[in-house]
Amino acid sequence: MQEFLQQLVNGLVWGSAYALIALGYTMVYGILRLINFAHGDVYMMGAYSALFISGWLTAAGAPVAHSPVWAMVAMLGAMAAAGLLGFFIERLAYRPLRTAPRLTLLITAIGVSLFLQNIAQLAFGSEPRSFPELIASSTILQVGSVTLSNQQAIIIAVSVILALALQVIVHRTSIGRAMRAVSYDREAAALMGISVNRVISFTFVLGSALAAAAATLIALNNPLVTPTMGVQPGLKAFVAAVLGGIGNIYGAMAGGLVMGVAEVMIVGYGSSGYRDGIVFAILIIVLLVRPTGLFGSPVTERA
Amino acid sequence: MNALEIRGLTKRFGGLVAVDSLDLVLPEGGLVGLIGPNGAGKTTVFNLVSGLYPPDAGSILVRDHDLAGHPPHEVARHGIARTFQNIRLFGSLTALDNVRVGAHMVCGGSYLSAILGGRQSRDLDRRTREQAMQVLHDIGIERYANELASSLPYGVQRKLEIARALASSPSVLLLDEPACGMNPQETAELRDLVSRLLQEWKLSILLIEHDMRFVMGICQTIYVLDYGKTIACGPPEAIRNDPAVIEAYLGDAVH
Repeated sequence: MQEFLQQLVNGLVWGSAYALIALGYTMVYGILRLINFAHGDVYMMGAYSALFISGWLTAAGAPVAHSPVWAMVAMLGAMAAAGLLGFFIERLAYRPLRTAPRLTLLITAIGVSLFLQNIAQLAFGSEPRSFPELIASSTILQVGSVTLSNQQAIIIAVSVILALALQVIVHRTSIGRAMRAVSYDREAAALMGISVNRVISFTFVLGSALAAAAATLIALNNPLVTPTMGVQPGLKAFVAAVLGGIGNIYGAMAGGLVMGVAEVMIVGYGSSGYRDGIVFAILIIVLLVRPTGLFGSPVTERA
Repeated sequence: MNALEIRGLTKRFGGLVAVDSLDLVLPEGGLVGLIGPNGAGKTTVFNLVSGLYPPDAGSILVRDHDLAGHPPHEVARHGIARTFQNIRLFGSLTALDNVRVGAHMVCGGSYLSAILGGRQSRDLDRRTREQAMQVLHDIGIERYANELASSLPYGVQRKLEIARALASSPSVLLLDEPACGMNPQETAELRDLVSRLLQEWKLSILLIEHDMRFVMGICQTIYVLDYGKTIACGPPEAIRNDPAVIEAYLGDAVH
């Protein structure tokens, strides 16, 4: 039982990071009906941004290691950088194809993904780089043999705060209302005076910033950064978004948590070799049994 | 002074000329009807005026601005609002939020300040909310404010579409078959509503409608389109007896 609880805690930690990435997939899908396959690579770029920002801060004499405040600065900086990247990806790669068939957009997304991976390899080298220790690990909670480290607590807490902030933005602000309107009917929203381009840009910035936050949080635990590090988390978060019902924000969060727990459990009780396999097993099961996902509503095509 | 003036408006889809050099004048405070057989190009005119399609030629003048070719959100900001033949509400939003989407651009405010919160944006939020409630009240559907638009009865959805269009405080309203699917009593209510929009809201209205009695009863001027061309234009009595109109509707057999 105690082992199970420990696995659950570990799973929720990974799951909350997946949830943050999945939110980006699901928001962009909700608004453009596009699976943004470059999203995992935005996550990777977010990790590099956080790495460089912590490096610069250290060089500038800031006591980065062991200081939550500076870790926060690194995270916010990475979110801003990734947000900017997301803005330009949409502006340069997707917007010119706004009226093109959706398949064209999907293939472009894969192209952007490969482009970002190769740019990263060219610019940062293919050797893994290592994060400075942003926050020294310590156990803050122990019940029996179940432990929760401060890093794990931070990952979960920050994810929850960001998810709640997103909820407030989407459901309580004018831009959120505009996002929901554009997602439901882009043309009608434009006719109500909403600048659809601005709303779409904003959605990309928001989703990309969340991916960078996830990257920084994961780096607390897993300090290695490589140009292809975004591929697996990207795919898993994509599956999480599908599992929850793509386009649905609650679904993405729930799907992310389920994905994290499932993955950790399969490693804990099965074999670590199945770690990545379980994700796709889940994807296949969802598509067979409930293609609209846990929270998804049946899709109706609008003319 | 004209609220809307269309000159030489033309739209081609491939070889088909959907709208063929249309000239139309909507006077300030006027109610102009646009009728014609199915496929005559009426809704295309609306789509051109509201910016959904760029025209191939011609101009759309609103207060000395030529809006031809402008994107829909800019056209909306110049005071043109519309409803749709097939209702296009934001089904997953509440009735109130549907109207607030329309109200947002009038009240202004940047999206960034909306996120950062602060007093100013909270005031703004309250203002759009109050304004939206007021519109729902005026149209007589405020008791549906917190229901999802998709769950509302058909007649209420039609009214909500008008409310959403009004929220942006437009000067010109384009109504695309507002009486479509309505029973006689609902149609009578709609007629009252349209008169109120003209008198109380000081709107200028361009109306597409198939219900002839409705159009003839309330419009001051009627334009008749057939195959994208204006075949007649004038007051209802003249239109009713115009041989070209009768022919377009009933075919050559009349002769």
